[in-house]
Amino acid sequence: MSLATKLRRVRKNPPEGWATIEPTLEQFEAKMREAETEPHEGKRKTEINWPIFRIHHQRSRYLYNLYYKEEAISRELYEFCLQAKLADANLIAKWKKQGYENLCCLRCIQSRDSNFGTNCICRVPKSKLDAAKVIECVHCGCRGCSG
Amino acid sequence: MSLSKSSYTQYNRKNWEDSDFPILCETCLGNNPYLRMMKDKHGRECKICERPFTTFRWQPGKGARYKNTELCQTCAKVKNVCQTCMFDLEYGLPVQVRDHELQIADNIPKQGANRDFFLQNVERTLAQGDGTQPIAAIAENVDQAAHDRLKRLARSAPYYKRNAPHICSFFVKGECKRGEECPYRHEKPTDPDDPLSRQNIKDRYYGTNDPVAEKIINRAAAQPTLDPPADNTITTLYVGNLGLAGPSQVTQKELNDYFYQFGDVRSLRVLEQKGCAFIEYTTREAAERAAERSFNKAFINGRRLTIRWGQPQAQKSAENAERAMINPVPSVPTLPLPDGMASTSRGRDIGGVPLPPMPPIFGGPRKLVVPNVRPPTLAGEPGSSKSGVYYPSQDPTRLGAKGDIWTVLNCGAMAMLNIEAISPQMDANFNAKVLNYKIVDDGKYALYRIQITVDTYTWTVERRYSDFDAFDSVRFSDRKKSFLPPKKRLGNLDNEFLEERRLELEKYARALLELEVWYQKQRKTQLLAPHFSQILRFPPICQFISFQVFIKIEKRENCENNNEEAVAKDS
Repeated sequence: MSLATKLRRVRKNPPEGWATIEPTLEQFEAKMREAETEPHEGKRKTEINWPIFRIHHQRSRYLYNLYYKEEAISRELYEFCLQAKLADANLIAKWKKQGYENLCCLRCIQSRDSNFGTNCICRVPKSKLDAAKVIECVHCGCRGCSG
Repeated sequence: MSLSKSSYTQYNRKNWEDSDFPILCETCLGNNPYLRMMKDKHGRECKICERPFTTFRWQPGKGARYKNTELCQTCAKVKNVCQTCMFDLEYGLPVQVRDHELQIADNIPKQGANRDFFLQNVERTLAQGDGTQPIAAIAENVDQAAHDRLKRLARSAPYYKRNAPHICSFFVKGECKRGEECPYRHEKPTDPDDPLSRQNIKDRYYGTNDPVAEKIINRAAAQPTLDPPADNTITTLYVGNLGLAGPSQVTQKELNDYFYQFGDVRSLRVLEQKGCAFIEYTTREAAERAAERSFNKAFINGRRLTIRWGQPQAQKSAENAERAMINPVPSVPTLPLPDGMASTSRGRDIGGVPLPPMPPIFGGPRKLVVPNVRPPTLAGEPGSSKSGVYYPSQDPTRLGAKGDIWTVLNCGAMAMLNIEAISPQMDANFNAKVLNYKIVDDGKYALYRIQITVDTYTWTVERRYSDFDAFDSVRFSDRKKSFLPPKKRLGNLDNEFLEERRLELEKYARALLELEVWYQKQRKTQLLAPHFSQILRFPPICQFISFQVFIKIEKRENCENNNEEAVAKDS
């Protein structure tokens, strides 16, 4: 979905400051489109969605940083972006919690989806894992987002 | 025939198996005691009977691939195999090897209605029993020799390499893009022409055309045997792989319990540090029997013992050693000793284990051994044995009964402890005597009454041989130094033997007394070693007195002070 379509769906005019973040969001949109149209041949079943998850994470992170860390955008603009689904509000809600500051995606903490009611392997701190072993989680390809 | 859950209860229909726990071998379970398994009810069809069964999936330890059950439990029980690897549950061997050794030829039906009918009958039998009895052809085989052979073929420990991940097929083609993250093994594949790479589940289950089994059977045929040595006097066996020194090591008792079944054991010596033992049998037949029946077959504490024949080289070295022990007579040209002079009555004994003295057939200097190491305090002692002995007839122990103590003490570098020649302390005031013996507990064992005299104190204790044996094994952890008369298994309650044993124990007790008090003096301690004072039940006061007697009360004043201290300490 192009950026223009997303804006049209909100049915509001973008608040002040939109012009400053628009080019970056356009770039994210273009990257997302590229990832969506990429052929799946030669990839494993689980690998196909990994780029989508990554771009989604990056874009949310961009807006989260602008509003909470740098305080570069206004509250109206931030909420407008959430409304336009340019950032994932649920993911950002997790980032505010201690221990989840770098969470890769929401699937990785969904313990109901695992065989033994546990979180994803990428949620295990590096210190608790075998140092020599490289892990890539099956959900989003995360290589570790906890400590 | 419909395959549905609803047919579960119907007569003459296939059952869908529902189980709580898989039947697995130790290797498949892996080395991690904390195991998580995923259960999938009716998750797959059995690779043999094609009925749905409850599958289990688990990771057998770190770095292993996930394994899951392939056979249903009924099929596994019919052949007594692991549900996953299809190796025999008892021996971890392929079905074909086991059936070949046990000579089982059960032609169970392999397909169609015949197979279904067979399994239905098996299930009915299983339902009647409690599930622990073996079924099918394995149940009837009781050939012990075949089981022994299988034990020899089996691995002694689980083989976890079998749980390793499979080889990455992309890597084999040279196009694995996952690199480090790849959970499969990046290794050179085995040769596709190798017969071992052509295995399939059904063949392995039914025990036909199994390349692994053929390999094992061929290897078994080529296995070495232990040939008895040509020298008929060798009756000693070497036993290795007892494990590292420590509590997990196979003990002397365990060895004795195992090896006495083949015949009378004359001596059994365990070298704890080296993790091996030497067993001497009284007869060659017994030794041969033991070698034949225990070679590659002896398992104690889950260890497979290594059995070899004793080496005859020790004979030569022992002879040489003894030959050198007689001093050349001064001013007499050296002549070669006649053979009989130097020969020892039991020269082939590798370990130098003290044995009861042999009847004096020839009065050779067989016990004339001088220690290599001597306590430095005694270096200049005039009575030291070596200087005066030029001829065997000069040997003070030659005809006497002290011979064994003499030899033995030499081993422990305690030459000064020869009771008559060297030690003047052993007199009426300082002595140990075994007064008599009695057989107690309805002829179970003999009790010896021992009288100990130290200065003005005299007391008696009652001890049986095994008390001394237990003490001795603690006191002389290096069994070479022990001089306890050896154990006798059979006929150890004959009066003749008991009288002999009484004398031997008396010598033992005396030597021990001397030795301990000497040590006490060397270490300049007031108290005797606790386990020693316990075996002879030394009253605390006598412990100190023995010390005094021994040093002949050199510094009386000093000693008296100490005495008071010691008494104060004791009280």
